Amino acid sequence: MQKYKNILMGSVVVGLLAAAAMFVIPIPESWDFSTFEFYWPLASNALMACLHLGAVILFVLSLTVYKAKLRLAFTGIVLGIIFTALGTIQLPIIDALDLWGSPYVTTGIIGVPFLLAGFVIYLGASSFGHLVGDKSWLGRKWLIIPGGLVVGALLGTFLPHIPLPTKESDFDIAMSINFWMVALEFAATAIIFRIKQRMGAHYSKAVLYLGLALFTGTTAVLVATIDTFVSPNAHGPLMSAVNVLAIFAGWFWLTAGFAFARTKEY
Amino acid sequence: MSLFGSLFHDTESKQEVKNVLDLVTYTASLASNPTEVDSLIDQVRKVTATHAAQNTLSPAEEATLIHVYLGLERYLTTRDPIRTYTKDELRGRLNPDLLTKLTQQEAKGDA
Repeated sequence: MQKYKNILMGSVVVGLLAAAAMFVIPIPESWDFSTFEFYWPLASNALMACLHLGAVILFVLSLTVYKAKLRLAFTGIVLGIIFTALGTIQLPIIDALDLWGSPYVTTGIIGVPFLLAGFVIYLGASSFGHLVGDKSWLGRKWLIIPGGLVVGALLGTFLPHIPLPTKESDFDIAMSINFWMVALEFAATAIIFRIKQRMGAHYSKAVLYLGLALFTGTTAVLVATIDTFVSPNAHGPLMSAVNVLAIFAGWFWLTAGFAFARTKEY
Repeated sequence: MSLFGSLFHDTESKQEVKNVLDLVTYTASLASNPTEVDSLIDQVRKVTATHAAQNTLSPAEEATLIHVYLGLERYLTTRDPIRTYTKDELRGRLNPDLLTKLTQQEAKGDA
Protein backbone atom coordinates (compact mmCIF):
# COMPACT_ATOMS: atom_id res chain seq x y z
CA MET A 1 0.00 0.00 0.00
CA GLN A 2 2.75 2.45 1.00
CA LYS A 3 4.62 1.69 -2.22
CA TYR A 4 1.58 2.61 -4.30
CA LYS A 5 1.00 5.74 -2.28
CA ASN A 6 4.64 6.74 -2.87
CA ILE A 7 4.29 6.23 -6.61
CA LEU A 8 1.10 8.31 -6.65
CA MET A 9 2.55 11.15 -4.60
CA GLY A 10 5.90 10.90 -6.41
CA SER A 11 4.18 11.27 -9.78
CA VAL A 12 2.41 14.41 -8.59
CA VAL A 13 5.58 15.95 -7.12
CA VAL A 14 7.73 15.10 -10.15
CA GLY A 15 4.98 16.41 -12.40
CA LEU A 16 4.84 19.73 -10.57
CA LEU A 17 8.64 20.01 -10.70
CA ALA A 18 8.63 19.18 -14.42
CA ALA A 19 5.91 21.81 -14.95
CA ALA A 20 8.00 24.40 -13.04
CA ALA A 21 11.08 23.44 -15.08
CA MET A 22 9.26 24.39 -18.28
CA PHE A 23 9.41 28.03 -17.21
CA VAL A 24 13.19 28.14 -17.74
CA ILE A 25 12.77 27.46 -21.46
CA PRO A 26 13.41 30.72 -23.31
CA ILE A 27 10.57 32.00 -25.48
CA PRO A 28 11.60 31.90 -29.18
CA GLU A 29 11.86 35.29 -30.87
CA SER A 30 9.38 34.12 -33.49
CA TRP A 31 6.68 33.61 -30.82
CA ASP A 32 3.68 35.83 -31.61
CA PHE A 33 1.49 35.11 -28.61
CA SER A 34 1.57 35.95 -24.91
CA THR A 35 4.01 34.56 -22.36
CA PHE A 36 1.15 32.67 -20.69
CA GLU A 37 0.19 31.08 -24.00
CA PHE A 38 3.76 29.81 -24.40
CA TYR A 39 4.31 28.42 -20.92
CA TRP A 40 0.86 27.19 -19.89
CA PRO A 41 0.58 24.38 -22.47
CA LEU A 42 4.18 23.29 -21.85
CA ALA A 43 3.78 23.26 -18.06
CA SER A 44 0.37 21.61 -18.04
CA ASN A 45 1.46 18.92 -20.48
CA ALA A 46 4.62 18.19 -18.50
CA LEU A 47 2.45 17.64 -15.42
CA MET A 48 -0.07 15.61 -17.43
CA ALA A 49 2.70 13.37 -18.84
CA CYS A 50 4.08 12.60 -15.36
CA LEU A 51 0.61 11.76 -14.04
CA HIS A 52 0.07 9.41 -16.99
CA LEU A 53 3.48 7.80 -16.45
CA GLY A 54 2.67 7.20 -12.78
CA ALA A 55 -0.64 5.66 -13.82
CA VAL A 56 1.12 3.29 -16.22
CA ILE A 57 3.49 2.14 -13.46
CA LEU A 58 0.59 1.54 -11.05
CA PHE A 59 -1.48 -0.34 -13.63
CA VAL A 60 1.49 -2.55 -14.52
CA LEU A 61 2.09 -3.29 -10.83
CA SER A 62 -1.56 -4.26 -10.37
CA LEU A 63 -1.46 -6.76 -13.25
CA THR A 64 0.35 -9.52 -11.36
CA VAL A 65 -2.67 -10.86 -9.47
CA TYR A 66 -5.02 -11.01 -12.42
CA LYS A 67 -5.71 -13.77 -14.91
CA ALA A 68 -4.21 -13.67 -18.41
CA LYS A 69 -7.35 -12.35 -20.14
CA LEU A 70 -7.69 -9.39 -17.81
CA ARG A 71 -3.97 -8.70 -18.07
CA LEU A 72 -4.41 -8.53 -21.84
CA ALA A 73 -7.38 -6.15 -21.48
CA PHE A 74 -5.41 -3.97 -19.07
CA THR A 75 -2.43 -3.99 -21.40
CA GLY A 76 -4.68 -2.41 -24.03
CA ILE A 77 -5.79 0.25 -21.58
CA VAL A 78 -2.20 0.92 -20.45
CA LEU A 79 -1.05 1.25 -24.06
CA GLY A 80 -3.93 3.66 -24.56
CA ILE A 81 -2.72 5.80 -21.66
CA ILE A 82 0.78 5.86 -23.16
CA PHE A 83 -0.44 6.78 -26.65
CA THR A 84 -2.74 9.48 -25.27
CA ALA A 85 0.10 11.00 -23.26
CA LEU A 86 2.47 10.88 -26.24
CA GLY A 87 -0.17 12.40 -28.50
CA THR A 88 -0.93 15.21 -26.07
CA ILE A 89 2.62 16.07 -25.11
CA GLN A 90 3.71 16.53 -28.72
CA LEU A 91 1.22 19.38 -29.22
CA PRO A 92 2.88 22.13 -27.13
CA ILE A 93 6.29 21.09 -28.48
CA ILE A 94 5.06 21.43 -32.05
CA ASP A 95 3.45 24.71 -31.08
CA ALA A 96 6.53 26.10 -29.33
CA LEU A 97 8.79 25.16 -32.24
CA ASP A 98 6.18 26.34 -34.77
CA LEU A 99 6.13 23.02 -36.62
CA TRP A 100 2.48 23.16 -37.65
CA GLY A 101 3.50 23.34 -41.31
CA SER A 102 5.93 20.40 -41.10
CA PRO A 103 5.23 17.11 -42.95
CA TYR A 104 4.77 15.39 -39.58
CA VAL A 105 1.70 17.53 -39.03
CA THR A 106 0.42 18.05 -42.56
CA THR A 107 0.56 14.33 -43.44
CA GLY A 108 -1.51 13.49 -40.37
CA ILE A 109 1.13 11.46 -38.54
CA ILE A 110 0.46 13.74 -35.59
CA GLY A 111 -2.94 12.08 -35.14
CA VAL A 112 -1.62 8.50 -35.14
CA PRO A 113 -1.02 8.27 -31.33
CA PHE A 114 -4.60 9.41 -30.69
CA LEU A 115 -6.03 6.92 -33.16
CA LEU A 116 -3.98 4.08 -31.67
CA ALA A 117 -5.10 5.17 -28.19
CA GLY A 118 -8.75 5.03 -29.23
CA PHE A 119 -8.36 1.55 -30.69
CA VAL A 120 -6.45 -0.10 -27.88
CA ILE A 121 -8.54 1.50 -25.13
CA TYR A 122 -11.75 0.41 -26.83
CA LEU A 123 -10.45 -3.13 -27.38
CA GLY A 124 -9.22 -3.29 -23.77
CA ALA A 125 -12.51 -2.00 -22.32
CA SER A 126 -14.51 -4.32 -24.56
CA SER A 127 -12.50 -7.37 -23.44
CA PHE A 128 -12.83 -6.27 -19.80
CA GLY A 129 -16.61 -6.01 -20.26
CA HIS A 130 -16.86 -9.49 -21.79
CA LEU A 131 -14.86 -10.95 -18.90
CA VAL A 132 -17.31 -9.69 -16.29
CA GLY A 133 -20.35 -10.69 -18.31
CA ASP A 134 -21.31 -7.40 -19.98
CA LYS A 135 -22.88 -8.36 -23.28
CA SER A 136 -24.15 -4.96 -24.39
CA TRP A 137 -23.94 -3.75 -28.01
CA LEU A 138 -21.20 -1.34 -26.97
CA GLY A 139 -18.82 -4.27 -26.72
CA ARG A 140 -19.51 -5.52 -30.24
CA LYS A 141 -16.32 -4.63 -32.11
CA TRP A 142 -17.78 -5.41 -35.54
CA LEU A 143 -20.46 -2.78 -34.87
CA ILE A 144 -18.67 -0.06 -32.93
CA ILE A 145 -15.41 0.18 -34.92
CA PRO A 146 -17.02 0.64 -38.37
CA GLY A 147 -19.96 2.53 -36.83
CA GLY A 148 -17.55 4.95 -35.16
CA LEU A 149 -15.76 5.40 -38.47
CA VAL A 150 -19.01 6.30 -40.23
CA VAL A 151 -19.99 8.77 -37.50
CA GLY A 152 -16.46 10.23 -37.51
CA ALA A 153 -16.42 10.58 -41.29
CA LEU A 154 -19.81 12.30 -41.33
CA LEU A 155 -18.86 14.77 -38.60
CA GLY A 156 -15.36 15.38 -39.96
CA THR A 157 -16.59 15.98 -43.48
CA PHE A 158 -19.81 17.93 -43.01
CA LEU A 159 -19.31 20.05 -39.89
CA PRO A 160 -18.70 23.67 -40.90
CA HIS A 161 -15.37 25.23 -39.97
CA ILE A 162 -13.41 28.45 -40.30
CA PRO A 163 -11.29 28.94 -43.45
CA LEU A 164 -8.00 27.04 -43.16
CA PRO A 165 -4.66 27.20 -45.01
CA THR A 166 -4.60 23.40 -45.46
CA LYS A 167 -6.35 21.38 -48.17
CA GLU A 168 -10.02 20.70 -47.38
CA SER A 169 -9.64 16.94 -47.95
CA ASP A 170 -6.64 16.72 -45.59
CA PHE A 171 -8.58 18.55 -42.91
CA ASP A 172 -11.65 16.36 -43.38
CA ILE A 173 -9.62 13.15 -43.11
CA ALA A 174 -7.75 14.35 -40.02
CA MET A 175 -10.98 15.43 -38.29
CA SER A 176 -12.79 12.23 -39.28
CA ILE A 177 -10.03 10.21 -37.63
CA ASN A 178 -10.25 12.41 -34.52
CA PHE A 179 -14.03 11.94 -34.25
CA TRP A 180 -13.61 8.20 -34.88
CA MET A 181 -11.18 8.00 -31.99
CA VAL A 182 -13.51 10.05 -29.78
CA ALA A 183 -16.41 7.72 -30.66
CA LEU A 184 -14.35 4.65 -29.74
CA GLU A 185 -13.22 6.18 -26.47
CA PHE A 186 -16.73 7.27 -25.49
CA ALA A 187 -17.91 3.72 -26.22
CA ALA A 188 -15.08 2.45 -24.01
CA THR A 189 -16.15 4.91 -21.28
CA ALA A 190 -19.73 3.67 -21.42
CA ILE A 191 -18.51 0.07 -21.17
CA ILE A 192 -16.42 0.91 -18.11
CA PHE A 193 -19.41 2.56 -16.37
CA ARG A 194 -21.49 -0.52 -17.19
CA ILE A 195 -18.74 -2.67 -15.69
CA LYS A 196 -18.87 -0.52 -12.56
CA GLN A 197 -22.55 -1.36 -12.18
CA ARG A 198 -21.82 -5.08 -12.49
CA MET A 199 -18.59 -5.66 -10.58
CA GLY A 200 -18.31 -6.44 -6.88
CA ALA A 201 -17.88 -3.60 -4.40
CA HIS A 202 -14.19 -4.44 -3.98
CA TYR A 203 -13.51 -3.06 -7.47
CA SER A 204 -16.09 -0.29 -7.44
CA LYS A 205 -13.82 2.65 -6.68
CA ALA A 206 -11.10 1.55 -9.10
CA VAL A 207 -13.56 1.15 -11.96
CA LEU A 208 -15.17 4.52 -11.14
CA TYR A 209 -11.81 6.30 -11.44
CA LEU A 210 -11.09 4.41 -14.65
CA GLY A 211 -14.39 5.64 -16.09
CA LEU A 212 -13.72 9.21 -14.97
CA ALA A 213 -10.24 9.11 -16.50
CA LEU A 214 -11.61 7.90 -19.82
CA PHE A 215 -14.47 10.39 -19.80
CA THR A 216 -12.26 13.38 -18.97
CA GLY A 217 -9.52 12.40 -21.42
CA THR A 218 -11.98 11.80 -24.24
CA THR A 219 -13.76 15.07 -23.52
CA ALA A 220 -10.38 16.83 -23.77
CA VAL A 221 -9.77 15.33 -27.21
CA LEU A 222 -13.32 16.22 -28.29
CA VAL A 223 -12.92 19.85 -27.16
CA ALA A 224 -9.52 20.05 -28.90
CA THR A 225 -11.12 18.73 -32.08
CA ILE A 226 -13.96 21.25 -31.86
CA ASP A 227 -11.40 24.01 -31.28
CA THR A 228 -9.82 23.11 -34.60
CA PHE A 229 -13.12 23.93 -36.31
CA VAL A 230 -13.65 27.30 -34.66
CA SER A 231 -10.25 28.73 -33.79
CA PRO A 232 -7.52 29.88 -36.20
CA ASN A 233 -4.76 28.81 -33.79
CA ALA A 234 -4.20 26.62 -30.74
CA HIS A 235 -4.22 29.49 -28.24
CA GLY A 236 -7.89 30.13 -27.60
CA PRO A 237 -9.83 29.55 -24.37
CA LEU A 238 -10.96 26.12 -25.56
CA MET A 239 -7.37 24.90 -25.74
CA SER A 240 -6.70 26.25 -22.25
CA ALA A 241 -9.71 24.21 -21.13
CA VAL A 242 -8.23 21.19 -22.93
CA ASN A 243 -5.03 21.52 -20.92
CA VAL A 244 -7.01 21.66 -17.67
CA LEU A 245 -9.04 18.60 -18.73
CA ALA A 246 -5.83 16.76 -19.66
CA ILE A 247 -4.44 17.37 -16.17
CA PHE A 248 -7.67 16.08 -14.59
CA ALA A 249 -7.56 13.07 -16.91
CA GLY A 250 -3.98 12.40 -15.82
CA TRP A 251 -5.03 12.63 -12.17
CA PHE A 252 -7.93 10.25 -12.70
CA TRP A 253 -5.70 7.78 -14.57
CA LEU A 254 -3.27 7.96 -11.67
CA THR A 255 -5.98 7.40 -9.07
CA ALA A 256 -7.45 4.56 -11.15
CA GLY A 257 -4.02 2.92 -11.27
CA PHE A 258 -3.67 3.43 -7.52
CA ALA A 259 -7.12 2.06 -6.78
CA PHE A 260 -6.54 -1.01 -8.99
CA ALA A 261 -3.18 -1.64 -7.34
CA ARG A 262 -5.01 -1.51 -4.01
CA THR A 263 -7.47 -4.17 -5.10
CA LYS A 264 -4.59 -6.62 -4.66
CA GLU A 265 -5.17 -6.22 -0.94
CA TYR A 266 -8.25 -7.51 0.84
CA MET B 1 -16.26 10.97 2.61
CA SER B 2 -15.41 12.68 -0.67
CA LEU B 3 -14.23 10.88 -3.77
CA PHE B 4 -10.67 12.14 -3.21
CA GLY B 5 -10.74 11.69 0.57
CA SER B 6 -11.77 8.08 0.20
CA LEU B 7 -8.82 7.33 -2.05
CA PHE B 8 -6.36 6.75 0.78
CA HIS B 9 -8.92 5.56 3.30
CA ASP B 10 -8.14 2.10 4.62
CA THR B 11 -11.26 0.07 4.20
CA GLU B 12 -12.46 -2.66 6.48
CA SER B 13 -10.32 -4.98 4.40
CA LYS B 14 -7.45 -4.58 6.85
CA GLN B 15 -9.44 -5.54 9.89
CA GLU B 16 -9.90 -8.97 11.35
CA VAL B 17 -13.28 -10.49 10.48
CA LYS B 18 -15.11 -11.61 13.61
CA ASN B 19 -18.69 -11.92 12.42
CA VAL B 20 -19.75 -14.48 9.84
CA LEU B 21 -22.21 -12.03 8.28
CA ASP B 22 -19.41 -9.50 7.70
CA LEU B 23 -17.29 -12.30 6.31
CA VAL B 24 -19.91 -13.30 3.78
CA THR B 25 -20.69 -9.70 2.82
CA TYR B 26 -17.06 -8.84 2.27
CA THR B 27 -16.24 -12.06 0.43
CA ALA B 28 -19.20 -11.52 -1.89
CA SER B 29 -17.82 -8.06 -2.74
CA LEU B 30 -14.68 -9.71 -4.14
CA ALA B 31 -16.62 -11.42 -6.92
CA SER B 32 -15.87 -9.67 -10.18
CA ASN B 33 -19.20 -10.80 -11.62
CA PRO B 34 -21.66 -10.89 -8.68
CA THR B 35 -24.51 -12.19 -10.82
CA GLU B 36 -22.72 -15.55 -10.82
CA VAL B 37 -23.04 -15.77 -7.03
CA ASP B 38 -26.57 -14.37 -6.81
CA SER B 39 -28.12 -17.67 -5.75
CA LEU B 40 -25.73 -17.80 -2.79
CA ILE B 41 -26.44 -14.19 -1.86
CA ASP B 42 -30.17 -14.96 -1.87
CA GLN B 43 -29.56 -17.28 1.06
CA VAL B 44 -27.87 -14.40 2.93
CA ARG B 45 -30.85 -12.17 2.17
CA LYS B 46 -33.20 -14.73 3.65
CA VAL B 47 -31.14 -14.90 6.84
CA THR B 48 -30.86 -11.11 7.22
CA ALA B 49 -34.56 -10.63 6.48
CA THR B 50 -35.59 -12.86 9.39
CA HIS B 51 -32.73 -12.00 11.71
CA ALA B 52 -33.09 -8.23 11.93
CA ALA B 53 -34.65 -8.04 15.40
CA GLN B 54 -32.17 -10.34 17.09
CA ASN B 55 -28.67 -9.56 18.24
CA THR B 56 -26.90 -12.85 17.70
CA LEU B 57 -27.17 -15.39 14.93
CA SER B 58 -28.73 -18.72 15.76
CA PRO B 59 -26.58 -21.83 15.11
CA ALA B 60 -28.75 -22.63 12.09
CA GLU B 61 -28.32 -19.14 10.64
CA GLU B 62 -24.59 -19.27 11.25
CA ALA B 63 -24.38 -22.64 9.54
CA THR B 64 -26.26 -21.24 6.53
CA LEU B 65 -23.90 -18.29 6.29
CA ILE B 66 -20.83 -20.50 6.59
CA HIS B 67 -22.29 -22.66 3.83
CA VAL B 68 -22.65 -19.52 1.71
CA TYR B 69 -19.09 -18.47 2.53
CA LEU B 70 -17.75 -21.85 1.42
CA GLY B 71 -19.67 -21.50 -1.83
CA LEU B 72 -18.23 -18.02 -2.37
CA GLU B 73 -14.78 -19.28 -1.53
CA ARG B 74 -15.13 -22.08 -4.05
CA TYR B 75 -16.23 -19.57 -6.70
CA LEU B 76 -13.38 -17.17 -5.99
CA THR B 77 -10.73 -19.88 -5.96
CA THR B 78 -11.87 -21.64 -9.12
CA ARG B 79 -14.31 -19.69 -11.29
CA ASP B 80 -13.88 -15.93 -10.86
CA PRO B 81 -13.21 -14.65 -14.39
CA ILE B 82 -10.53 -12.09 -13.60
CA ARG B 83 -8.60 -13.28 -10.60
CA THR B 84 -7.71 -16.45 -8.71
CA TYR B 85 -7.69 -16.28 -4.95
CA THR B 86 -6.35 -19.00 -2.68
CA LYS B 87 -8.17 -20.38 0.35
CA ASP B 88 -5.36 -19.23 2.61
CA GLU B 89 -5.55 -15.67 1.28
CA LEU B 90 -9.28 -15.52 1.81
CA ARG B 91 -9.12 -17.01 5.29
CA GLY B 92 -6.15 -14.91 6.37
CA ARG B 93 -8.32 -12.30 8.04
CA LEU B 94 -10.61 -14.60 10.02
CA ASN B 95 -10.42 -14.66 13.78
CA PRO B 96 -9.55 -18.07 15.30
CA ASP B 97 -13.10 -18.82 16.50
CA LEU B 98 -14.60 -18.21 13.09
CA LEU B 99 -11.87 -20.19 11.39
CA THR B 100 -12.53 -23.14 13.70
CA LYS B 101 -16.28 -23.07 12.97
CA LEU B 102 -15.52 -22.88 9.28
CA THR B 103 -13.13 -25.82 9.22
CA GLN B 104 -15.50 -27.87 11.38
CA GLN B 105 -18.39 -27.33 8.99
CA GLU B 106 -16.13 -27.98 6.05
CA ALA B 107 -14.96 -31.24 7.65
CA LYS B 108 -18.58 -32.34 7.89
CA GLY B 109 -18.66 -32.25 4.12
CA ASP B 110 -20.07 -28.76 3.47
CA ALA B 111 -17.80 -27.52 0.71
